[in-house]
Amino acid sequence: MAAMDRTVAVEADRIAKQRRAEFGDYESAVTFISSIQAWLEENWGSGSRLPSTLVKFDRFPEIAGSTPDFLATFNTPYVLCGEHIKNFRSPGSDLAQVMKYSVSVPGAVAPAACDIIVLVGTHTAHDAVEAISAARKATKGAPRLPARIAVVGFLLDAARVNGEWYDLKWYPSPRKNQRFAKRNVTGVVGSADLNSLLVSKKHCAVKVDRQALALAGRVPLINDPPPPIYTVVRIIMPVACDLLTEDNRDDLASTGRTEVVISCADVVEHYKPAVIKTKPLGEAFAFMQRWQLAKRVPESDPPKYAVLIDRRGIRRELAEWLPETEAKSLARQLASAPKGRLRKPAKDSGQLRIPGF
Amino acid sequence: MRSAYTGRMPTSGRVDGDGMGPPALPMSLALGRSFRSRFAELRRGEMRSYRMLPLLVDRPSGDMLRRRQHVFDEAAWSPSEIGHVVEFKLAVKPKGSGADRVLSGAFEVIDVTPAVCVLGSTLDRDAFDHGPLRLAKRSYPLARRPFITSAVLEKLLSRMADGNGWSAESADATGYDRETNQFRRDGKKQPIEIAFREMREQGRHVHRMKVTFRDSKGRRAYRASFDRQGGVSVEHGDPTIAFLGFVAEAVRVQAHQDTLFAGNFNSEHLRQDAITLQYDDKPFRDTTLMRKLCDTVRKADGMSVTLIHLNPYCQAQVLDFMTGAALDLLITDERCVSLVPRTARCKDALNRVTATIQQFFGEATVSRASVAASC
Repeated sequence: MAAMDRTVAVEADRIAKQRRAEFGDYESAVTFISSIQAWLEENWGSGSRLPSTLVKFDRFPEIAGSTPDFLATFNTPYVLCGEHIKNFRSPGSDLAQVMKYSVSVPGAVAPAACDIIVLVGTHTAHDAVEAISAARKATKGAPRLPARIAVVGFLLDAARVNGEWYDLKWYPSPRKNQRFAKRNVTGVVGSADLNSLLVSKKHCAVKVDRQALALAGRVPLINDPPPPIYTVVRIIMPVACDLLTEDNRDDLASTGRTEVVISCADVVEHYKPAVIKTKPLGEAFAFMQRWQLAKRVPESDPPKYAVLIDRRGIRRELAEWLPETEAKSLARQLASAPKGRLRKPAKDSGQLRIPGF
Repeated sequence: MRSAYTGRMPTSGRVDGDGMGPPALPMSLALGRSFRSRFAELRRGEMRSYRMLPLLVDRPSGDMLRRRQHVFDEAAWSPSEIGHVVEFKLAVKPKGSGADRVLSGAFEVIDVTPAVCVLGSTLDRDAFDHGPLRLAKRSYPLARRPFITSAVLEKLLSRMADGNGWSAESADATGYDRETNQFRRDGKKQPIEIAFREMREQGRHVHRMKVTFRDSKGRRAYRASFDRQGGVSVEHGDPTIAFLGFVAEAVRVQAHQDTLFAGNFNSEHLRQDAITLQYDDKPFRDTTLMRKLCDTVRKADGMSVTLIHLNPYCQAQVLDFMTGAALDLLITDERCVSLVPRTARCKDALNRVTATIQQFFGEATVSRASVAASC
């Protein structure tokens, strides 16, 4: 019995940690892309002391069915296509994705020179360089040369006194890791560019400053689908807040509760031009139903959901409450399972199976 | 461009209207008659105190009453010479066991200008808290309470004393203690300057002070309680003096501060301004007080605060369900809190978050500057 209680507690704790990690990982990725955007804008955009060359930073590009994490266009002319992969796995889909960008992006942005920058955790930079180098060798003789691919490792330094920084370093393997184009983000001879900052220097520090955080707040998405908990907290609840009518707000102020009906289309529209797909939204609404934060409007097609807003719920720290609630529910379910038949959720999905859902 | 409101008093006329400037709020003949009537009732001992609670409104008070009538179990209002008279009834659940208490009473909603109304009440404390004060708290965003710093509170009280040739003595001072999350009181009778200074030395700001004003012969001339939200409870003296010398001035100070929050959202993120609260005591050396700050903002009705990131910087998503506003709360160094709008309708929310933080976490220097500018 004691062993079963321990198993239940361990499993509940694992689920809670997994949800928090899902939230944290996606939030980190959003902050990272926002920091890169802020860094490019500060150095080569309107924040720069030199004439600006950055024309556009697109966080939601779609090119020939591919969705890299950003596409930065400069008037030198030059295009930098970026992909952020915290843990580059090889063999696997990461390599195929990067090689696909190197073929599809140049054609889409020609005649500008184009590079692919693959930002990977420093612990996987070596594997990334080896895999990409081998894949490039296999493309020799192809009718169209792929774009240069530069692997840049990043390491989050959260221990400095003055905040968080990302240390970026081009992986030092001159024969296997490609440098950036000779003329890239700046046309001014002698001024800092991607090669001088990322390749030649020991490392380049990009600060997570207020500008980057404000960007992350304004666009809390990257070009990958977010996990349900992040979608609920960061994407759907702000839309619910925005869509409350005056009558809703009067009810909330007077009686302490109200509900607002929203659909996936409402959420998609709210965040334009940022791109959010309906599949993760559907998963998030299902997640909300599970924890009594929303209920589906009967016979609605496409589906609509009544999001429940009450005074007590508003005061919750949602990003903590959701994992804890899921963990407690799992613990209750496991504890009430017949003795000897303790069923755990599938480890790969971490999804909690609740009867009736 | 950086503009700041640091708690310094804007220039205003003397309380007895000596021509140095127009009064902050007009007082109609009818309102003057009403105050004189209240004064007579106080003199006769027919009531213990007359409370005034100012609200900044953006619509007629009748509209506000109609939309907020359900904060009471029963409410009815009728027009009067100076605004409306509201009668209410409310069943209050006890904190422990026992039956509900049913509170009822009446209070005035005085229309001073189209942008300002004052809730006037002769109710006892319990009925006042569950009547006019409950309405004031639940009226946001239809109506807002002003907020003045303790430095401004001290200056207004000093000015009231000087303008009438009185000395001001603190009878009971209340300050909010950040560490214990509670109000702490000082009942020592002493000049108000000393009471304010002692509170500051203890790391607190005076939120409310009961003051006895004495004339040159030491006789009690006036006695009232004043708070940082422009509220006053007159126990002895003509309410007109507190209305003109304190309530009206608090409203004027708030109107001046409101200019910081107007037109704040910019669709160009590089041109976005933030509202910054700067603390001289550098409270954010670790994450404990960052969390406490987020808990503080949750005290405001309808405010959702979600911690997105905490260590070593703090980023929190703040949603104001009463207005639809969304903003980011950032703490990226030891002394500054930045509030960055994410949506266009943030003026009231910024104001409210700023006032809530100042009231329950600590007063700060409030300014507006570009997001990218250092604190």
